[in-house]
Amino acid sequence: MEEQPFENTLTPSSETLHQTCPICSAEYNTQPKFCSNCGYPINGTFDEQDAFDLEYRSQRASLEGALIIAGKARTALFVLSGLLLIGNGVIAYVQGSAAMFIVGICISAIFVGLGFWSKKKPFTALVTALVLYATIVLADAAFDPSTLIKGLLVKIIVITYLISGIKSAKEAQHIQDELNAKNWNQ
Amino acid sequence: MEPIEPSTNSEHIKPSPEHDEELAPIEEAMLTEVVVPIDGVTIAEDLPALLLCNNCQQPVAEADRFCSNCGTVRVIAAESYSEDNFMAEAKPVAAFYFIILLICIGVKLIDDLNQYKYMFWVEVTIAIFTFVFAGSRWHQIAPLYSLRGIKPKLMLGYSAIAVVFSLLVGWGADYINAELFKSEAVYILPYLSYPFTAVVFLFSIAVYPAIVEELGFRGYVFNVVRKLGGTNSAIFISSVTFAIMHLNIIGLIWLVPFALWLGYLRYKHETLWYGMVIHFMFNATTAVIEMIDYGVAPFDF
Repeated sequence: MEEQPFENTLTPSSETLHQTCPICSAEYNTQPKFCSNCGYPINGTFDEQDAFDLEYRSQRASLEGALIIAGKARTALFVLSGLLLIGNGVIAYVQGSAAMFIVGICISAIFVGLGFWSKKKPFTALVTALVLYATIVLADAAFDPSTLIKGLLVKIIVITYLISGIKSAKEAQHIQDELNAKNWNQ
Repeated sequence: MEPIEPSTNSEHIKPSPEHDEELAPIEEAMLTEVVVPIDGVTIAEDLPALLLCNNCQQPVAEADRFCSNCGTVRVIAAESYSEDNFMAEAKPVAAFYFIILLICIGVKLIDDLNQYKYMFWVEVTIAIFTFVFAGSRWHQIAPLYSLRGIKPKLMLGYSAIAVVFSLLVGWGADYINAELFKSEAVYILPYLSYPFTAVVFLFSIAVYPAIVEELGFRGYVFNVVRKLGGTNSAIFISSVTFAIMHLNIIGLIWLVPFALWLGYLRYKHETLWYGMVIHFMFNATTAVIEMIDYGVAPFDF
């Protein structure tokens, strides 16, 4: 099948010829080859339009991919706060310490809060969570080295998820900036 | 000196028609010289700027994001992202935080370190690490020490707020410590056995943190995180690391807001001076109150 360039199928009849960009809805009375608002080859060949489509979709897909990994870090935070709540609760019960119980609840609440915040500000929230968690692990280990071994797997998994979440959040931030610059957010 | 007589001199000043014609081509040449676009930017202000596409040299409008002729994007994100670059920037700042943190944990852990004869060397060690890490980015940090643009009245205002905030925090902390932990937090005890208690105490509690902590967190950490994640991230993360490093869970209640304020001022004024003076005034207020409580004269030589 022969693909006809768009500009040949619609010959301009008068100056009042009206065109709307199918991607961003920008309106034109002239016949630009590319939409100056979003870069779509509005009067380009089908090949050019295909190439645009591909890049547009792939950028949006990489953004979604990065956000999914950041989302996994969020899930890890929620699981972590649950585990900490149980762990600190048991310690507080054994020690019979009300202060320890309150501190345990506060720490879990902070991680839940950071989890929710990471939807809006993934980079800042996940870095904060990592700093806080690593500090707690290190401080615990300094006072009682045996705590480092307890739940070692959980510690490694949580920290791994947080680090990859931070990287993805940064990547998502960068793609978002590019999408903003190109007006590709619709 | 000839007397100035406008009526007679005016004829000499008035350009003749021939003179006008002589000047015209020169003026035109000067104009075109000014309007020549350099990389799509013109120097002349009152003339409409002629913007050209970097790729195909066709004219583009100011508001265009893409060239309508060749489709090249005009506004490109500041710099390209790579995970390797990100990690290369992030690792040193993470190392800095964890080194300082481990030293602070060590101080909490080893009671003996709380004697000032050891604590002094801990302070020296932290200062050295801070100077080394901050030194690696000195070209970005040095301008933050410029005294240009510092407003003395504003400084006085901030100092007053710092003193009031310190008094409120002091009363609040005393109350929480007494009610919740049946204890009191006193900083001056390890210093009482030394000569010049007031000088040593004020240096260690107020002068030293104002210099070293501000350089480390509002200078180094802030700068690196701002590059990695933007200004808001920098203010927040530099504050959180600063606050957590103090290893005082109750203290987070006032350390975080205090640090957020300092971080915001560092961003707003692009200087470390306000933060240093506020930090000094805040800590010095606590120190002076303890000195009064323990009857330490300010100049007890």
